Amino acid sequence: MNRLDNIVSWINKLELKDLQKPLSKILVHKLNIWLSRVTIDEDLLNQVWCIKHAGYVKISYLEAFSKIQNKEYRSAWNDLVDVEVMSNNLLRLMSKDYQEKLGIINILNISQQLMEMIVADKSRLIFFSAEIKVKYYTCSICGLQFKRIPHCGHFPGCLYSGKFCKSVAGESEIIGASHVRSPRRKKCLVTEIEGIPFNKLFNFYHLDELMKGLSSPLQNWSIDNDIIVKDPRGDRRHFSIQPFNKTIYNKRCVLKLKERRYFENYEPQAISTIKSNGSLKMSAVLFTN
Amino acid sequence: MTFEKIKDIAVKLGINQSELNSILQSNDVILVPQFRKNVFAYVDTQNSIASYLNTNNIKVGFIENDDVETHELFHDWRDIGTIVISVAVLPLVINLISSYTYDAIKANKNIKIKTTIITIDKNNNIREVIEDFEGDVESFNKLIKNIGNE
Repeated sequence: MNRLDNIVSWINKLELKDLQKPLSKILVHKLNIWLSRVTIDEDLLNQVWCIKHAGYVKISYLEAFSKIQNKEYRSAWNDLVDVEVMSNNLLRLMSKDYQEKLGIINILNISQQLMEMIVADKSRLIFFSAEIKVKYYTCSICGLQFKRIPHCGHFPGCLYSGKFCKSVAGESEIIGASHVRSPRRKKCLVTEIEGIPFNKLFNFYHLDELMKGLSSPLQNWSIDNDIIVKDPRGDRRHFSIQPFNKTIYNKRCVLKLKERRYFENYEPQAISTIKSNGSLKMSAVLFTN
Repeated sequence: MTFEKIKDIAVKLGINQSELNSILQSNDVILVPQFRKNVFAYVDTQNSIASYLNTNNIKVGFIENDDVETHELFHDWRDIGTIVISVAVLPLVINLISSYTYDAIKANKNIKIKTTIITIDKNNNIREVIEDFEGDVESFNKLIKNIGNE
């Protein structure tokens, strides 16, 4: 087993109790020590970038899990979004061998399931997403400015000698903001509607029950889709707010939301079962209109 | 969107017929700007697919002047807008668009595609092969594979 495999094994062994340590710093330190002992080439640097970010995926996932246990659901949501974004990059950039060794697909699947559980009541799942006018972008590798396609030979989303290429938005301006079901940036989840805070906006009973039943953060489980009640009111609705103004937003959106009957008194109608692939079974209250 | 509308957009942007023909003949793929919020703009997903095609050695052109803006969208639709593809590279571009949308669906299963696809041959004969498509990736890929097989 080479030293890089040792680091992979260290990432795989990370547990909730390790979160007390500065895990990100330890991971970077370990990788730097390893890099100081080998001959560096572009492929190797790219591989190290992937392993470092696989480590971040695991750490972010454990942090999200711990936050859900502590009922910090909104903050956990942000960590799970980070896990989703980083995992999707790793699925494109990392070798299949390391993807399997580090269980990236498994972590991504469980994270997405947890996200589903956090916002189980889809009728209240609304994102407030901005539309932005960008004058130019800059290549994060070489700093070249461009309007549409970078002509420096670096392409956003690719790795160059252990550096991830991004097109960084230059001069920008918010030109509007909308409520959407499927936003570009998932962190913009609406966290308070008409004074109802996030922890009361959604029902976390079933998620809390799941947490009690899981023996480890990476234990597999699944939702019985036959029992989940689907939102019958379509998959997307958005309300354009132009110009962007918080006061107008508050007035208009709340009115629209009221019209759309988002604020009905939801009554639990079904007692359901969430199945795991092990012996875990529990009851959960699902909400429907 | 018909080809006449593309000509109209070019005229509004101060691009005359011969300049438009030159853009059409010197590129494999042309992306057409959209009229949004009272200005002509390309959306980020159009830039993103342009970069993707460019990485794969497809020459991408834009119908624009300095006033055409770039808008980062608020929703997660893959809005490719109107895309004019040269018949010579049609099968290759269709495959690339298909793999681009496949990558997108890996990140989000519910992603929707919005596009119009027009083909153009060396004699400037125009054919609208997909008109105002708005739907999921699976149906889109079925549609464009049929174009590729024609």
